[in-house]
Amino acid sequence: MALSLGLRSWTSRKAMLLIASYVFYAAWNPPFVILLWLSTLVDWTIAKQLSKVRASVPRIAMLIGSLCTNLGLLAYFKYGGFIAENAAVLAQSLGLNWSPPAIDIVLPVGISFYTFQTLSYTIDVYRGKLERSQSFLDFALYVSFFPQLVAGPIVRADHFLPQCKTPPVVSQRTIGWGMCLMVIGVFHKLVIADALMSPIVESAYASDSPVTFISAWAGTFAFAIQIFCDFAGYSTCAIGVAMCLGFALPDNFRFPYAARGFSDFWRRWHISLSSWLRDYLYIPLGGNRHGIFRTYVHLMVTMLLGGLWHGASWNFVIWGGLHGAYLCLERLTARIWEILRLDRFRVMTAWLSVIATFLLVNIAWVFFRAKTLTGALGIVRAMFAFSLDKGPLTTLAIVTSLGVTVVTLAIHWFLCEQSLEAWVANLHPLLFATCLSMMIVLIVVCATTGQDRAFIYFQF
Amino acid sequence: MLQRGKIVPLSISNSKERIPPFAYGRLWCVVLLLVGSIFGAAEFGLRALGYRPSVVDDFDLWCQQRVRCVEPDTQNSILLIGSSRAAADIDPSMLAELMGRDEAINLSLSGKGCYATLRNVAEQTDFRGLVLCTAKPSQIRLDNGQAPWTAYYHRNFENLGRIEKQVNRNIKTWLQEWSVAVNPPLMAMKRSLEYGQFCARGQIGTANRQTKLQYDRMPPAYLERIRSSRVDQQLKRLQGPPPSFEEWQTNLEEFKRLADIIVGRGGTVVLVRLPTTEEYLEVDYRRYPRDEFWAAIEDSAQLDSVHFEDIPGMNEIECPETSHISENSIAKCTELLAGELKRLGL
Repeated sequence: MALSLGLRSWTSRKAMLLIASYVFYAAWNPPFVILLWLSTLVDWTIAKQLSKVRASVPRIAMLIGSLCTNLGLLAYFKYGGFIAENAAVLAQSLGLNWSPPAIDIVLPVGISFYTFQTLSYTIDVYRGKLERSQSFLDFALYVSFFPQLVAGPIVRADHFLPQCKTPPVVSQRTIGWGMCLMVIGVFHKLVIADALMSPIVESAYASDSPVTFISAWAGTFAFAIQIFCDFAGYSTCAIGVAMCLGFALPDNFRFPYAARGFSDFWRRWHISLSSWLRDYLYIPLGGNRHGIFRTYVHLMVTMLLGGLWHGASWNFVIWGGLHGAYLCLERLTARIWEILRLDRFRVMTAWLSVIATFLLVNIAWVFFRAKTLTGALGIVRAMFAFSLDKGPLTTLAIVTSLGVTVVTLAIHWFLCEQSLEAWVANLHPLLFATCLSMMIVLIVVCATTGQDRAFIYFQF
Repeated sequence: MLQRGKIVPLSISNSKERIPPFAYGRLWCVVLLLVGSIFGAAEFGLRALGYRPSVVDDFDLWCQQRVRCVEPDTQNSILLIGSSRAAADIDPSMLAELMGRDEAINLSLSGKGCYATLRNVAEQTDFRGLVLCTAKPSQIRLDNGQAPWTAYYHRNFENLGRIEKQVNRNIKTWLQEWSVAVNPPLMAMKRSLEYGQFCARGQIGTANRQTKLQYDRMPPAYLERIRSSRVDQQLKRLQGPPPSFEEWQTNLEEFKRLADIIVGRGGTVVLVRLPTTEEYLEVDYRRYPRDEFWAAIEDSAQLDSVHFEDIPGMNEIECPETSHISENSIAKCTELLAGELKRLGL
């Protein structure tokens, strides 16, 4: 931040941020920076040509070129092993004695995020919704801006590139609030996700002893809180860091566990991905413009691919499939709600909707978290086999999980109609300072003594 | 399900227009003051109660030691591998100093057999110094309990990412060595309340992964509880089938093969049996009689070995809970071990 803000020229500042982003990415695995460069170069060149060519055939060919390069990289690095594994199973079921060559592909961190960013840029230029960027530096910085490079939010070019045109005003207020966001984000990650929830989730999901009704629910609730705090924590940090550097990033979460239904959930959870899928997959497929049946098909396809985006495993496909099914079911039953005129009991139905959504989201989380399909089915079975046996979790773990879940739900419920900024603005400065101080103390203690755990979404 | 009819406001936004209107300079000064006061008060209070700083061991701290095995000049280094006794009974810095060596690297891991680390050092490094493998005959087994640490090392410390991990770990180590408050002794405080008298942390970790067991600063009732749990653990082992000598010998041959790799490039490997006492030792001997098992290490495998019972003075060191020595015996144990190793010409 000091280096960036210390430079006078806006171009030098952007160049410095670009170099910093490449160093940041290379620190993990230097050769993979080449992929970032490749993706940047391909989409820069294609978008440049798209803005010159008017004939539709070459434009489509160029768009296909971009799609093939970006999705090809994603397919090879992310799904290579999965495709080979499943091809072998298919071959065996057809009686063919074929096994794929052993391949050990390292997944480049953040590839799913920057691939979606470059794709959206090219598609928007192709559709004529976006003018191509005139500055390669700006475009390269858009692809690789380090705060959100490895785990989002997935930024759209029309949001980021205009910010590169003029130097931002970085004031005491933006830096001050950016730092507050960083503290809030790190607190979510280190204290709640890592220190409180992660050990409970590991005990429930990696246990040798059979999981019981109580452990299955408590472990899955803990995972629901862990993944929210882990991912929302990262997004909040990324927004805070970007803000200190003078950039604005889009929101990624809006108190999702207060969602009343699944359409509402996806408007609140990983917003940058769900809106990407809506704009570049669901709507191009036809959205809800071709009748009820096709709408359901489009929803299912979008959610199944959204699941697969998270990882090369059938568990993620099932997770996406469950959310697709939930969305379809929600649309299907919407009419019944209207007929029954349940809006008369607004508060009660709101609460019931929040709880039902949360419970169903948790059933889907099981497939997201479990290492294997058998493991996931075991947990789901336990969730529906009532018993008072504690199972592998201790009483303290169960109480912690349930306690934190209730508190999180209450906070989400309480804040779901307002913004964090609005809520904080109503606090007395001394009270806010005390809250920040307590968070910093707990962060220091957990960071110093806790185990180092990577962000869950780094693997995607 | 009900749908919301209106646009949901943003929860966390960077919209500059909606930044809460605080005087941020003053706000952060207050925050720093409060954080400083909280840590200051905690530090003062905990030290006044008698607590000392302790370094928390983790994968990165282990890897920082492992990195040193691949440095070019290891012929004058000592490498400690084994389980908890290697960390609790020996002071690595003192041992290196007494033996006139450059450094002592500590790769021991509590509760895990040393096979995976020995194999990793033998096959994946060019280490050619003195390897002290602390093991009881029961630990001569192809146990991969330490494999996650070696795997973590190869995954994270053989690329540029290690810089971030090392910087992060160095900051943590510095803070933990310097301050009690950043690593508060919560369990010890809980125990103090439980026993109605001061209870030390139990163990103090150091930057070179040494563990100092504070048995002399624990309530006798608590010490007795640990002791009986250790003895119970040992007695339970008696109920299992007796070890097969043939199978054990096959494992020993594998240890010998790994030792030969290190010896072949100019290093030395010594199997060291460190003190255990009373029921713990008794049960161990009932299952692994010294004449049969330890003798096989010395005779048939012809591995260099040191047994605590053969070192005058070392067999008098007390193990308060039968398995490990106390902090105040470490210097004596290290000194006697160094003397014995020197006597063997190492």
